[in-house]
Amino acid sequence: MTDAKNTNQSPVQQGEVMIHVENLKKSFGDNVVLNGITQDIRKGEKVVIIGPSGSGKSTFLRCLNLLEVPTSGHIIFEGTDLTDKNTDINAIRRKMGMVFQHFNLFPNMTVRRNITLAPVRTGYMKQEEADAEAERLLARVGLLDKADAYPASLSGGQKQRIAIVRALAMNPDMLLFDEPTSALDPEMVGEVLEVMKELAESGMTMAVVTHEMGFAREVGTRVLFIDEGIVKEENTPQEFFSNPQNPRLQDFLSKVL
Amino acid sequence: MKKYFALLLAGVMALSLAACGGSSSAPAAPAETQKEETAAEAPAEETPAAEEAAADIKTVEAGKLHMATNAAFPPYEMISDNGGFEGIDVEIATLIAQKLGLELVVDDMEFGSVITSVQGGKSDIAMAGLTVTEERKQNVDFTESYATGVQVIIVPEGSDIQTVDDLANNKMIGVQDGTTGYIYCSSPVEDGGYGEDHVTSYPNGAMAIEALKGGKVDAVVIDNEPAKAFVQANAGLKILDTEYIVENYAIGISKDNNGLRDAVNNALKELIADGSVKLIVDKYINAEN
Amino acid sequence: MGTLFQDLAAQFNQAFIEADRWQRYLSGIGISFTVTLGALIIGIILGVLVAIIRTLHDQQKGTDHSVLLSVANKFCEFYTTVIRGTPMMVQLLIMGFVIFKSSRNLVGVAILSLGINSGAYTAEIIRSGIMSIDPGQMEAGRSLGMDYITVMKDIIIPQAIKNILPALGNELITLFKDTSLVTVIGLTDLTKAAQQIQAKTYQAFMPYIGIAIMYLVVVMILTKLLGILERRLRESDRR
Repeated sequence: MTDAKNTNQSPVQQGEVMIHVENLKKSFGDNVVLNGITQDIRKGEKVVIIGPSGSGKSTFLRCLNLLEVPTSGHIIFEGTDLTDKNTDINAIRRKMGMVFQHFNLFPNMTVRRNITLAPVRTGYMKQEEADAEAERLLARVGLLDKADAYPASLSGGQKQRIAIVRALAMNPDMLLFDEPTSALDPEMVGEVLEVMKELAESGMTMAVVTHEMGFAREVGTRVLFIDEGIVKEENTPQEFFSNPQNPRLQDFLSKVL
Repeated sequence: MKKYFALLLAGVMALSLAACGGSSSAPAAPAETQKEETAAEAPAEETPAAEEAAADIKTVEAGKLHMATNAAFPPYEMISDNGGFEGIDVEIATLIAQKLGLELVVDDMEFGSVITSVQGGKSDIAMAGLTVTEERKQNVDFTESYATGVQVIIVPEGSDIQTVDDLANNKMIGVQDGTTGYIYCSSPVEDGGYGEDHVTSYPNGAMAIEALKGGKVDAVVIDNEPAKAFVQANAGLKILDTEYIVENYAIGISKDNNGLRDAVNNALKELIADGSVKLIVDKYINAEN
Repeated sequence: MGTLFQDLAAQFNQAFIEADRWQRYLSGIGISFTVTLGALIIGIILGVLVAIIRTLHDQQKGTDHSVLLSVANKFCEFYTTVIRGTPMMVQLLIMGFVIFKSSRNLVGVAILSLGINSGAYTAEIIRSGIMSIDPGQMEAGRSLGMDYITVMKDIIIPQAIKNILPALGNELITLFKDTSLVTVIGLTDLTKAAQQIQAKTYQAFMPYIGIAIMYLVVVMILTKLLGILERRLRESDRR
């Protein structure tokens, strides 16, 4: 916490705050994973989160849409406190899509149904609207011909692109990416990053946990280094990679770059 | 070949046994005192006719007469207080065995298995209050009848069933699995029954009575003797004065053993003729009245 | 040899043809089917309910439960313990002679008894099926804003069913064969029909061998149908 630079000094800090995290702590039993994180993510930001394994970066991301319930602290998304028991978490999650490391497509459904299930079941769209939206989004990622295929017949890269489309179908205000390329064969990483880049260019607010330093440098507007349950350093990509301050970050970068 | 050899062997054994029995005239050793008394009371002397028959007969186990029964049907067969078997059938069978120079062995089993036991050659005679019907005669041989069984109707006190005829008014009748009460009641209306839809059959009499008390059935048709016990044990039930049916009990014997059938039948006839059977029946039933 | 065949023919005639006895077997097997089907439906409904309540409870371990869920979970545990810890026969006797001592709807009592019994076993099967599904499936569904029940119903259960179909098939077959126990409450199913014909004719061979073949044929048909169903459900894996 004390190591983190004051957020007000960061160069890319304009626009309204989309999600405000206040002193977030999370423990599994005696194991403290997050030890007090305070962060703002503003509309249009692409925040890339890096850190050694076990640092708590994935847990931090999963707390943002309450897949993990925080032990203490507050998460305020578009003015609503998620940690308030009376909050309709389902309504919040519809505005905050998530893409997983292992895609988590529904194997018993066609690609089309994977994409349209949630919009239809939550009453957000009628089946015909959802179908049309699914086709539009599939065309955008170049997978329209796979609409009636089952996930088992797709490559990893195709699966992850479908998973992104599935999250987009709910028309979210923000997307969370939890190591979206870590489970992919190297030759497929590019096609997924390409889609994510396009999304970033279209103005989507994104929080991305990744090991792809190239992506962080190229697409990120801000990079966070989470280690030992706290944000140890944050900066613009240029500063972050060329002029790291924290010795742990220096050590980490020397290993991954 | 094996079969003939076995037959031959059995014949030889039977002959040698008969010879032994003839010389020592040893009676069957009764397992318990009750039977011994009866045997003593019985006026029967071993007649030559019966002894002759014994020479021809083959039994499951040499020198023994195995009786298949279900010892839960008082007063015909039941377990005595000291754990042995007693009852009308048991005592008559003891006398028959004596006449044939054999020792009686009681094989206690489920009622449903009694007939298959003699058919399958596990027991020699079946005595379990068996009622003779034409259909059953096709699959097992019967001796003379030695007693009459009475099927009665049990109803709750205050029931609108007053006579046998009232059963015809779409009532539900409870019976016991495998009994003639079931057979008669479930037969089609044109044959004098009430049809399958008006009969519920339970594994034993006590369950049928339980169903009657609960109201699942309107009446229970069952043998008179157990009926008396049930009514005594359960307040609010009564036996109708009119009997449902009177039927004849006989001994069942495998169709493959004519020698045994004739010998048992002859012995039984003699016991009926000399009054031994009546004495036994009176001791258990008529004496009470 | 000739007489042997004549004997068998006569026995067959007496056991199946005379007095239209084949109708007794037919109505008996009808009862067995009805009870199986009814019990299956009740068993699956109960099984799914209990499995969901128990899984929901287990998944929320460590966090604070609602009191309602804790009570429901305790009740479900009690239910499966009692049902799996007592013989089916005893359950039938209690249902037939204690709880529904006055009911004449024996088919209803039989369906309820077997259904409640089957539910306890089905619940455990379904629970194992739900636990076999990657937790990521639930997370993906929830992250899209669908509620727990919708995700269970549309995503988890259909996949779980596919995994547990062989076990569920065994349960169905067990259930069908267990219908022979309903004879104790007085219901005339296939087994009792044979017992009654044995009592009338004093022959056991034809009625009992006959119904054994009937049970076997039905079970073989069920097995075949389940195999077809399983193959169709697996189609999504192959395409």
